[in-house]
Amino acid sequence: MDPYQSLKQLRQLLDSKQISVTELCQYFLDRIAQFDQRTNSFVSVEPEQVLAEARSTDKTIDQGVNGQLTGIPVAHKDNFCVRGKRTSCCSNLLRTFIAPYDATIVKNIAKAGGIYFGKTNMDEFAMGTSNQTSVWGPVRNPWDLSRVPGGSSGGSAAAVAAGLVPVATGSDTGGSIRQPASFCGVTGFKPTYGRLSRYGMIAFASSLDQAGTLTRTAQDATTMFQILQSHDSQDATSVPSSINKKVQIKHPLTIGYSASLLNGLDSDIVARIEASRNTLEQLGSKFVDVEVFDQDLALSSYYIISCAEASSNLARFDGVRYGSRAKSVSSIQDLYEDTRSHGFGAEVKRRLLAGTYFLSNNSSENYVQKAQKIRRMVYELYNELFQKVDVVLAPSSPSTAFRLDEEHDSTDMYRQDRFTVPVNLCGLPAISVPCGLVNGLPIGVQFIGPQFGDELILDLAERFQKETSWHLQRPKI
Amino acid sequence: MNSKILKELCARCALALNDTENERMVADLTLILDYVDQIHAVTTDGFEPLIHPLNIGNVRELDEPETTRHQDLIQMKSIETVEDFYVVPKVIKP
Repeated sequence: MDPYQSLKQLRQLLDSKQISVTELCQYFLDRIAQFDQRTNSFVSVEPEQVLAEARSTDKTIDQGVNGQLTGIPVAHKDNFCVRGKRTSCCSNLLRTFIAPYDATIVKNIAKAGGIYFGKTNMDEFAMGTSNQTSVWGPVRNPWDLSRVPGGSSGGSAAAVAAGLVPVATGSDTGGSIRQPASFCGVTGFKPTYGRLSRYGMIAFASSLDQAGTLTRTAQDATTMFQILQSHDSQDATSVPSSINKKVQIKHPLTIGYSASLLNGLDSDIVARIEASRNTLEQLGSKFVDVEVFDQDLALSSYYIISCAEASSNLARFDGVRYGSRAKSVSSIQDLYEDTRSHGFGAEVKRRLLAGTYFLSNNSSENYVQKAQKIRRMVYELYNELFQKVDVVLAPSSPSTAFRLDEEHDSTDMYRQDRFTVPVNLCGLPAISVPCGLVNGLPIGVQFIGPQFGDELILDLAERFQKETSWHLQRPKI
Repeated sequence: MNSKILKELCARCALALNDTENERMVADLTLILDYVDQIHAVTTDGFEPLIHPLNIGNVRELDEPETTRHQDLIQMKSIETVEDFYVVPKVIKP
């Protein structure tokens, strides 16, 4: 049994009865038991329940019931609510929280027959780029266990890269799917804002958060996207079909590219991005030079907006209704303070305090409104760009995975997201696909599409992966 | 950023930091503010704030009454409840 088979291959194995769902699930459970102590990519797995669901699914297959994902193991990032399961957001504050309902993403996967395989590790409340801020400990990159997997969906990326599960969900507020996909050598897809429901996905920054997937191939990402997309009346920002104007898939494509993005990057990374460009040119794509927005300005705007939205969203965690609660407190104010002070980790506190500062009376106009105006500038620039080009090519991350013991200050870490945040500011779809190895570590390249151009970039990614084999590389774990 | 401003922010955020955390947080927030302060060098005249990436209106639904109380479900794993209520320390001091 090859743990790195695509969804299509696994479907064929199950449909032809070469393997049963129970055998398939047992196989991946065995791999988790064998390898996850090294990566720490899962924060909860319940083998008995997985196998019970697998046995029951085998019976439904015998009765002729078969969905697209029937019998396929799927793991969920720990910020997706799964009814009756711990959903901790990898925070001390929610370490005992049992979700009372399913996120729509979780429901859609279950409806398609996917087997719930457990929760994956993440940065606390999805705030981070290295998966080092989880209360359950850091995730280690399967390509080199002394290195980070990226974040915040680091557990999902590492689990798929290590062959512990074929597909995992993720969320992307500023690059949290694409950067770990780049670090771990997997395919990370962030759809257009609003095309996948956010209902039941614990909020970080609501105008930026988007659910997505980490898979081995772009074809698997397409399959998952088809299953997951739906208009959800429970999410006010879910896009109704009446305004969901899909962009037509066409060939050849005009692709925008800015060589200035590569300034200061390691020459081997630059070579991999340039090689990706050559591959796309061989596929018939025409490249044009484009101007992109100043990365540091876009990043500053992103951090102001995301911290401000987080400070508002996370105000709900007060120790009254759910999560953990401080003990032996005499007043309601002490209850709030003690609960939150012991519940949140340092990075979350840092962003909440920064967000509160940006939102305060004297600062709001200076910071939040100014950042929103810059967001408008980025948005308009991309709108103009997509009048001239179909897709934009950009690096997914400025480096390969860094070491766990490397010291980084906050802004160093934040700059990890400089190639990914413009996409979130504008609600665009983007996919990171593996485009090479640099000193034995994976690196990814990003295809960015116009709003509702999801199918267009998925198609491009699939064609890219037909010409390259980087997505088939495996770590020696 | 200084310890006085940080103290005010902590009060608004319902957070309490110890001395070591305070010192580190002042340094970290200073670094973050120094970085994002570059936005002030940009002229943004003529640009309206963009608060949401999609140009869609609010979802409006028919105003029809429905039963939405799922007391048991919502309070399934609550920290401390009595009947329909959440229990918290006394808010009004005797």
